Amino acid sequence: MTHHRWTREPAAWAVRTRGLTKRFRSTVAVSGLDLNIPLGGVHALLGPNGSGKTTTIRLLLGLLQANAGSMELFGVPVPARLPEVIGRVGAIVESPAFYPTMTLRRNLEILATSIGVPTRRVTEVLLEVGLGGRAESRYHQCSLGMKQRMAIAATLLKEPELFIFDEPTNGLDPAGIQEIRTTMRALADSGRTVLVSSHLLSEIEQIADTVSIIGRGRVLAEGELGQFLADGGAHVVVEVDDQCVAFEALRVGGYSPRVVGGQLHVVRRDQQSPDPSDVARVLGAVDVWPSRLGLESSTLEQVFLGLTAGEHLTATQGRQQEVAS
Amino acid sequence: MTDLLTAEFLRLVSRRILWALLLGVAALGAIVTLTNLGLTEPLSVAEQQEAQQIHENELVAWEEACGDEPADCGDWPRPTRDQYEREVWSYADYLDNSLFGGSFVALIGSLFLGIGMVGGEINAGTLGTQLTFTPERNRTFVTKVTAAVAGGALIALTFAASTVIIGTLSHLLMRGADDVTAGPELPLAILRLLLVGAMLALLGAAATLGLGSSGWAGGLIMAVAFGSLVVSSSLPSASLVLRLMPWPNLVTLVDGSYEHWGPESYELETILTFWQSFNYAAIILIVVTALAVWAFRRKDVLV
Repeated sequence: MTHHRWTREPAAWAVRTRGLTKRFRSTVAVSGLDLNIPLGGVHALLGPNGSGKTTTIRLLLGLLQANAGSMELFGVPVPARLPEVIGRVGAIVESPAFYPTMTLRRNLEILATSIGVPTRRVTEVLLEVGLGGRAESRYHQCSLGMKQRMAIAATLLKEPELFIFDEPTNGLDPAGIQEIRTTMRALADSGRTVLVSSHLLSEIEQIADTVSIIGRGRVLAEGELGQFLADGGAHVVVEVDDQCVAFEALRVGGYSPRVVGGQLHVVRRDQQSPDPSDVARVLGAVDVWPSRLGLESSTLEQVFLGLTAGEHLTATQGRQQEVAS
Repeated sequence: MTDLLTAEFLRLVSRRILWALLLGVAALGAIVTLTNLGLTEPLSVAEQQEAQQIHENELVAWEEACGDEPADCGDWPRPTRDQYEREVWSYADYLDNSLFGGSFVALIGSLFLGIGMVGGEINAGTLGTQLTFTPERNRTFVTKVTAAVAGGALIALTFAASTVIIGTLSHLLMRGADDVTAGPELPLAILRLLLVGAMLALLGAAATLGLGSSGWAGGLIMAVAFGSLVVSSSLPSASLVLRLMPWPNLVTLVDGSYEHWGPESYELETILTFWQSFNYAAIILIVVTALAVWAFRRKDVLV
């Protein structure tokens, strides 16, 4: 079941999928995916490794053939009518690929020519991403950060309305990550839609407006980021010497404890906000005295982990586990 | 379509593989013609004397065997001196033989261009990048094979041009301007070479796009070509299978005809004409291309 966290229905959708399914031989990468990405803002696509994020992006772009289901970009069914809307979409899928021995300029000129864009646009986009002085450098001579900027430059050739970034900060240093983050936010602030798939939840939390969380090839939750964090609620952080006794006592006392980095994160099983004093009472009853006890708000990472606990599975593995149980 | 085709040609001329192959076949033409130049040299006195001596020895043996009844010797005619003289090539023979001698190596270059152009894009992942800009698979296929065809023909043309230019210059320098008249076959031979270069590049590009792998495409094509070479050499001239083998048809397209040892004698007989092989090749290319288009449209691009 998908948990929806929309305070209001978005006016329009940039991307919608219904029942999207993709199999690679015996592995089901995407299983009945119903994805909704609103028009405008930054939308984050989150999920564990193997959950189907990149596969979904490749399906939307026509790189893969779906086994079942439907997809729409800007309300236009794809891939049947993908050529009609591809000009409105700029995408970076995993590691961007260009000819290693060609210059940055020549690589972009080929792409620009293929879509009928004047080659003077190449100079503009290179300047826009800060590569104007490196236009004549060969691609294989560029650093990873420059290659990522080159990929962004390529997407800008089309002046698209929807940007799709799949793991855009892979391998970048903190400065590079910040640059990409700033770029994505600026694109969204200019009225475009940015879809970003990333594992860096702390970075996503700073720029995303809306979120879809995927697990086992399906959407587990989607909605506004603010609503996710609010609904994630608070938890009590406990540090004790005897975690086993504390864990069992809290469980009996109506709490759901979880071990996170040597601490116990405690929430109430009835979803209400936990009371630190009550937690202390429960622990005191079994003669366990915490060295640290305090109330913390949930981060996106905690919400994500809570939703995807045990979801480090592909869709096929998930179904096999369900059948076995 | 025009934009995509222009981009493909821009991509082609920007690839090192094209320029490396052009340089390679130009050098090949030079090497072949310079190697063959010696065969245009008139017989020396020593060579003439040697031929005379051999002729006289053979004539003695023939007269002893055939004696007064030459008709009893059947297929062993009376020896003549020119049988034992080195053939001296005319300018026309020199160019024709030089062109044919290096053509198959040059044509491997055309095939390799078709395979390498597309295979390089698949391996580097740039095909995937291209498809995020122009997702129409049919157009992408058509423009890529069109560029490959042009490149394959260009490689063949470069080899032919190098052979003719360097061959002519070297002949003029070493033999003078006498007898510098190309035969009627030379233009036709060059046209055939261009045609086969284009066909092989098309075959290489289509097979690579369809199979999604340059290794598979190249391996399969070379295995079929060389396998058919081995098999066809052992088949009798009357065999229908021989006429359906790729190698004899390839030779026919390049040389204009294919000769094979006859069943009863040691004479060669023509078993394939150019147009028979052209039709054969056209059918093969149509089938391969159709299958490749079908496969490419359904292929998952993971890189």
